[in-house]
Amino acid sequence: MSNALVRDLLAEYGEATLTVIRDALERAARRDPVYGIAADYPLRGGRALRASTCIAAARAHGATLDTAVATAASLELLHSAFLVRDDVEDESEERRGRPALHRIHGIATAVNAGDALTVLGLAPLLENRTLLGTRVAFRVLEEAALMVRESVEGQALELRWRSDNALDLSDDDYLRLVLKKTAWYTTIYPLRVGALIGARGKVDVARFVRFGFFLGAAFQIQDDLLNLVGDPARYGKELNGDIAEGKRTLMLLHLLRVAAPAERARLAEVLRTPRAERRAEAIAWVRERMDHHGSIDRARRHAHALAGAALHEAPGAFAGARAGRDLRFLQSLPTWVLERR
Amino acid sequence: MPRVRRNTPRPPARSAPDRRFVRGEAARATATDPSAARAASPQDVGYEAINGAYRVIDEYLRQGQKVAGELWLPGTDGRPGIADVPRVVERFMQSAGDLGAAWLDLFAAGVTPASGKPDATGTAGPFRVGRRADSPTSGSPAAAPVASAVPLVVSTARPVDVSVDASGPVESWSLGAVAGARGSAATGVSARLAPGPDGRAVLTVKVAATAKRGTFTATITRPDAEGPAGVVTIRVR
Repeated sequence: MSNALVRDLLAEYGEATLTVIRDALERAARRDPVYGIAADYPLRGGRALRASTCIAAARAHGATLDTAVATAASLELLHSAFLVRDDVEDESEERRGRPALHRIHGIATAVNAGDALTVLGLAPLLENRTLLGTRVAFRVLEEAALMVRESVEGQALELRWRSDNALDLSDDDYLRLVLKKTAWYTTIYPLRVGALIGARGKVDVARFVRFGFFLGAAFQIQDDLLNLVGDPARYGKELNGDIAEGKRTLMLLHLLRVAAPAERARLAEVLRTPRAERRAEAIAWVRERMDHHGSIDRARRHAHALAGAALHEAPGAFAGARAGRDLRFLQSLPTWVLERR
Repeated sequence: MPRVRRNTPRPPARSAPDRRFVRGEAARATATDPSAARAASPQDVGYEAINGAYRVIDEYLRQGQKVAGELWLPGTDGRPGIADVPRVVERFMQSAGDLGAAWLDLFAAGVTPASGKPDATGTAGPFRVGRRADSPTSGSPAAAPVASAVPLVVSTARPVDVSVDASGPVESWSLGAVAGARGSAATGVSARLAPGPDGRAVLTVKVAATAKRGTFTATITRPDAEGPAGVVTIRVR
């Protein structure tokens, strides 16, 4: 399995998707300036993991690039819409190496731009009717509705944890959150709709859930780790930002479980403090305690184990896929997510 | 008599699935990480991570199956027979698919709410669309506009897709007999093009419950055109 292949296909499919997105944004921006603001995140450039996974799954099941790229573009636009709102809800400062959208335009304009991205993301799914036929287009639309529902419920769960200052959470709780908030739209949905497009609706999409979940969970844990130990220039968000936001990561939950009573009380107080009042020294202390108690190494082992589980599930997930570089790309993703820096 | 030693089977060493299958690149990555040196122990973090993840996803999938299993029609004891569940779910999905397809067709046809369209009298969902078609003849009629200019009345006992692909003014169209694949008989499927109450041509499609699944077509001709001017396609599902 080659991570070079993953990088190559991410670049190739990412560019194809970006071309479609750029065209849609330019046309929309002629109608109203809100689409110009909305264009910010999609054009900042990302890895295009979701779009590439969708296209690769489609091609591995018999589709051409042309029939899958509109759905991939829809996914990236919806992803950007999620990010705009997430950044507002999490009070994030940076996104992809630049200030978050609400830090530039204010919350009201950013939220409206997020809505604009949602609208732009739905349009290709309706246009799929001419590309894929009514029945397959409707199946894709159903999948999109399911994906959005799961993602919204996942985000709601995380917001409740923070507003309730939830402290007694298990690793299973974290994985349930990741399944809904991350895995559905990062891996499960792209695989399912890609296969639906490629197989013209004649595929059992349930087979992708386990592989997609393990891959998505490994991806999210690695992402959370990069927030603590990553290269700020490459990671694109403020380091330790998750601690500042009070995000319930695997590392934080472990720390809460193993901390001595006095430490735990201080930790609870830090998490209870509103983000704007959370001091840099307190954040640094939490980070240091994570190192002290081995929370980061433990999370890294978790990510490796889940990537291994994804590899174990891959043959079942891709039993109906055609051999070739798209299949190799999909099979290589579990190891690639661990190598992200 | 010599005593025979009985081979007593050893009890299984574990009572839960062994999911320590970290392998391939991930296994190599783990093996190179000194902090993961305890990977072989059942108490290991990786082992717990995998079991926890399977626990979560299995629980999630079970809940999904439970929801799907609750999509049944009330039976004598309040539950369908096991064999009925897939059929009921299939019918449910079929209906949902048909409804969604109809909405997509309406969107694709550029349907808009009827305000500003004084001649629009049909209905589809919350919208008033199209023009009133001929009075329905029987069954469960539904009037809906099509991309062409001809009003369409479908009276059907089966799920169907109807499309009209033709050129020229409707008044000049003549409709041939409906036929199945390779000219086979179209039992239970008919199409008629005739003037409605306002004198405008209306296409009426009827599909009986006895109609077979398949695709049926009727050719449209025009006196001023050489060869067929179009086709009506009826897909019975």
